Amino acid sequence: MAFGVEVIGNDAAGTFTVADTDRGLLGYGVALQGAGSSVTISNASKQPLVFVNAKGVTAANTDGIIAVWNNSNKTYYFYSGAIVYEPNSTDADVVLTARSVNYFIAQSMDEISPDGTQGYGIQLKNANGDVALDSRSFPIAETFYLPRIVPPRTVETGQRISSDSTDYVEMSHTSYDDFSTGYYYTSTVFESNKITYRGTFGAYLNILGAYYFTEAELENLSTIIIGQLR
Amino acid sequence: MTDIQNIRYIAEVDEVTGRIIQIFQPTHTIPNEGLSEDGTRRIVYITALNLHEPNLALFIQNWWFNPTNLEFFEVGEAPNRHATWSLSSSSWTWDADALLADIRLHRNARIARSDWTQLGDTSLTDSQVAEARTYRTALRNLTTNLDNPSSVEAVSWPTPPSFLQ
Repeated sequence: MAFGVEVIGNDAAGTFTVADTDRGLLGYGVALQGAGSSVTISNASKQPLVFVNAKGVTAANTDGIIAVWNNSNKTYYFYSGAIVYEPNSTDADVVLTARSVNYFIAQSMDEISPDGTQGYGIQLKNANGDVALDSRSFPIAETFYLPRIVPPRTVETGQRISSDSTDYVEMSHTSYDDFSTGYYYTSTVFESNKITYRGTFGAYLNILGAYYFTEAELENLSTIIIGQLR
Repeated sequence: MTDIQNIRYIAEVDEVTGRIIQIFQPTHTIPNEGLSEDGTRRIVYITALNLHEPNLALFIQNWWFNPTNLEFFEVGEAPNRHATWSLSSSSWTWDADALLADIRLHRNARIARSDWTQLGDTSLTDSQVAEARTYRTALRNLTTNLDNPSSVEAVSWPTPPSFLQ
C-alpha cells in the first residue's frame, strides 16, 4: 500500500517536500462530543460519521438505537424504535421515540474549521489541495481510534458486535422503513455488558384472502465500525 | 463567575420545563452562560462541581434543571415517553390518551404475533388452539379494565401460552 503523505526530505532551499502518493487522503478528527437526542453539524457539506454509546438509556437495551441523518438541516436524530401494529389494519409500524445518547462526531479535516486564533502546528495538504491534516482542527481534547470493524453479513440479530459496553458504534448501518404492509428496522442494542446488533423485518402476507403477519431476522448488510475516544 | 478553564461541558436547558436538551464539550467558541435572547433556553456551564453523572446520556435522562435556584436535581427516568416533569407539582405528568394509544399498539402486536395459531393447518392440538383463543380474547379485552398504568410495561399483560413464548 502506498504512503498517504510522505515527508521525503528537505530540498536545496531547505524546504521539506511532502509527496502525496495516495491522492485524496483525508484525516478524520473529533469535531463534537456530547450527549443529546440530536446533534447539528452546521458546517457539514457531506454526511459526517456519528459514533454512539447509549448504555443505560431507556429502551437502548431492548429496541436498540438508530441514528437518522437529515441533510437539509445537517442534523442527526437519535431514536429507539418499537414495532407496533395499527388497529384494524394490515400494517405494522416502527414508532420512534427520541432518546438522548452519548455521541461523538468524526469529520474529515477539510470539513472542520480550524481555530484561526491559534498558530500553525502542522498542516498537510494532499495532492488535490485539500487539507489532509491540520493540528488546529482538533476543536476538543479528544481523538478516537477504531478497535474493531465488523464486516458485512457476519452478525445476526442478537449477536455481539463488541464485548466492551463503553465502545461507541458508528451508526450508518442503522435504519428503518415503514411501508404500507410492514416495517424494516436495524439498530444497535446497548446492553450492560456488551453491544449487539438487531435487524428485523415484518410484513402482512395475504394467504388465500386472509392477512397473516410474518417476521424475519436480518443480518448486518453493511460494515459496522466500532470506535473509542482517547 | 466560572473560570473558563474549569468548564468540563456545556448544557443547554429548557427554561420553562427545566429539561436538559443537550450537553456538549466546549470547542473553539464557548457560548455565554445564561438565558438566550428569546428567554426560552439557558446555557449552563458544567464543572467538576455540578457534573452529577459522568454518563452524559443518563445525566440528560435522569436529571432536571431548576431555573429558580439554577441547580440540577435528580428525578429519575420518565415513566413513559409522553411524561414531563412538572416543576410546580414535583411529579411526572403525561397525556393519558396518548399512553393508552401506545398500550393499544403494543396489544395489537401481541395479537398479530399469535395470528398463526388460528390458521387451520398448524401442528397445534385443539386444546392449544382454544388456549390461544382465550389468550387473544384477554388481549382484546385488556383496555377495558386498565387501572391508570404509568407505562406500557406497567400493564398486567395476559400470560401467553407456552407455545407463544
